[in-house]
Amino acid sequence: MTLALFAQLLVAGVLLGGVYALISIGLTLIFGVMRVVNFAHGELLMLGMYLSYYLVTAVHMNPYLALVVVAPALYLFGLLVEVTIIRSTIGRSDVVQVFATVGLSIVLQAGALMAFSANVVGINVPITNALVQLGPLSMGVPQLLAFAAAMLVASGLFVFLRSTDIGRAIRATAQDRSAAALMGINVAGIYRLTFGLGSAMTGLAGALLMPIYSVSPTVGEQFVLIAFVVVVLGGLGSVTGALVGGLLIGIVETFSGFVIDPQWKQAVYFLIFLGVLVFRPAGLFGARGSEELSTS
Amino acid sequence: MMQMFGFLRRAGAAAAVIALGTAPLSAAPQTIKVGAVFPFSGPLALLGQDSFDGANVALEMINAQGGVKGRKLEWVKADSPNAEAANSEAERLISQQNLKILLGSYASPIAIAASQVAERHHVIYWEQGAWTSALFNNHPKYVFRTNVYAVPAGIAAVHYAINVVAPKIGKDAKTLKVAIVNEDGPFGSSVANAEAAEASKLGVAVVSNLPYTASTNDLTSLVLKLKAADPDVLLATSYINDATLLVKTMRTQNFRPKAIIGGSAGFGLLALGKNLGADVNGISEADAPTNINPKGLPAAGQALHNEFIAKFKAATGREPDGFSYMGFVGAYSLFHDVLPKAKDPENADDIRNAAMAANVPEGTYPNGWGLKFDETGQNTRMFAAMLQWQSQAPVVVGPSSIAAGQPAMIPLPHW
Repeated sequence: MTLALFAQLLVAGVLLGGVYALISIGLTLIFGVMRVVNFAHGELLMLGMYLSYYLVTAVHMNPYLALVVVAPALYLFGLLVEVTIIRSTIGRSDVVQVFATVGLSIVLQAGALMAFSANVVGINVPITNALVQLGPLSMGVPQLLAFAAAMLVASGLFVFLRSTDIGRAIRATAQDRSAAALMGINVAGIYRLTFGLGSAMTGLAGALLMPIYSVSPTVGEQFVLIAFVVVVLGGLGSVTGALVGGLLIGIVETFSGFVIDPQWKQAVYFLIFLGVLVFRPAGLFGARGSEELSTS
Repeated sequence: MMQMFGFLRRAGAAAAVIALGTAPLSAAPQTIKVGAVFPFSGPLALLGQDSFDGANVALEMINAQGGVKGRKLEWVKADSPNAEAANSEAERLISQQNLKILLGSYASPIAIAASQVAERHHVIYWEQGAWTSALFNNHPKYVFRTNVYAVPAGIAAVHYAINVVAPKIGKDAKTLKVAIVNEDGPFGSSVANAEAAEASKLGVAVVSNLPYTASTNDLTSLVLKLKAADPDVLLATSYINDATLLVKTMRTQNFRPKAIIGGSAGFGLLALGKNLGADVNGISEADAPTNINPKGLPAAGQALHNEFIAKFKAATGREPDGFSYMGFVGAYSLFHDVLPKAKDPENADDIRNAAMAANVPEGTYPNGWGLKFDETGQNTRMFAAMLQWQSQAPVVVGPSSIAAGQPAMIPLPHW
């Protein structure tokens, strides 16, 4: 393997890892704070993609300007879901949560099938085909932007959780719901905010994926498994873990696809995933059985 | 002996009484119910619906002409998004609804599952769109397929590479280098295996043979492997998401073979043109014929072609695609050329005999196909057409009798 080829694979892997991190941050945030494993995560991503698709094709908005509509819209949708469905499952058995969120995912998929049809659609505007050429390295501009967004979202969230009052309240709630409530924190409000934020980030991810991928009602299935792998690998609830886990899987997938075989790349990262779980069940950055929201 | 005749006489009289008693209730002849086993929901729903819409035009045409032996046809729709659902739905249609004919399905896993259930119950399974080579693996007696499938399509793709592409780039079968990539499900593997076998038979070098998983999120590593192998022609069999991703990644990595020849599915869908814009132009594909030049058909075929298109547009508001043509041909051949000739159109053995006797010349149906089954149950009067994306629309460029245009953009211009 030449150096240029190695560099090209590395760049491609890192960029893919950025996409994986991006789609995982909302999932890990919601789990870390609320202990809700959101099986409708892929469908939130799908909604973000569709909204972005229609803003670009029907309103002729720049796909990256569409972000400022998609993220708030998904925030509101997240609030609605939290108030109507998620809230009543908090503190109940895991089975209740699983059924509630799996049910939601089926409803959203079926609703999307009725509303948008099963057509696979994509956007094609000049920026979706734009390239950056650095010597022998070539990178798609949408991939670069998705990577940059993943970094920004992760570090923004990190700072928000560390140095704002609301952020501290979120972390306190994540660590001990009862103690947080005794300290005067509005736990229900924090949950609502967290689910809204997690949904907004997932919507944002959807809008950033739209210039790269096509969307159909079942597109969530294509991404949700990898998001779960990234989140568990990085440590449930850890934002840093999602970032590192995403990058790790992106790089492993790209190199194993080249060195071994494109058919086996998924098997390779699942093997690594299993290995990590055997030796570090909490994931790379998960602390004490993922019992707290780690920002370290 | 006499006692037995007496019994028979009494039984006959009783049967006559029962028949008379129920006759007023069934004054109109009963409809013939046909199970429609298609994916109407889930990821395969788009093309499942396209296929069914084509078949439905055939059913309505035959009903408008008075049905089969005076009996109207009626669908019993069974949503089968995957093989498990196809299995249970086929079982339900046969055991509970007592259907004798199932028609499906467009998707290979669904076709395999539903056809096995039908065969077990001695019920006709009529496939109009699935491409797998494995449909007849167990030598079923009641399974028929009217459409082109993986093997003839893969062979057509290789012949196009040798006969059309190679001369335009100064090569021949002995010097041409091809690479084969495919999604690794039964569909992609069937086409890729046929391509590899035909290439090796004709002495064409296969420099790379790379299956991948269709749900992949990234094909950079595959494209870099292809680039290193440096083929003249890329033979690719993909669904729509991965076909889009493949071409986009080839552009990002500046990999441009002299020709790209797809194997149906993703490479033939109008969505590919929308996803790729002008980058789609020049891509060729072996596929079921669609948008053929009807002047290549005999007069009767032209008339049916025009009637099909008009009725399809009126019913759905859109143009038929290759799957709609296959759906129509499958259903029309059954309803028009087989069932009316069966002694009892709801008896599987009678239908089988009528099907094996069917002899409809090529050019009769709207996509140029006819009907003549081989001993396995595969229609032999079908063929793959070669299409090429020109001005962001697929144009039939072969076979020449029904071609609507000429192959162009060979070699492909640089990105």
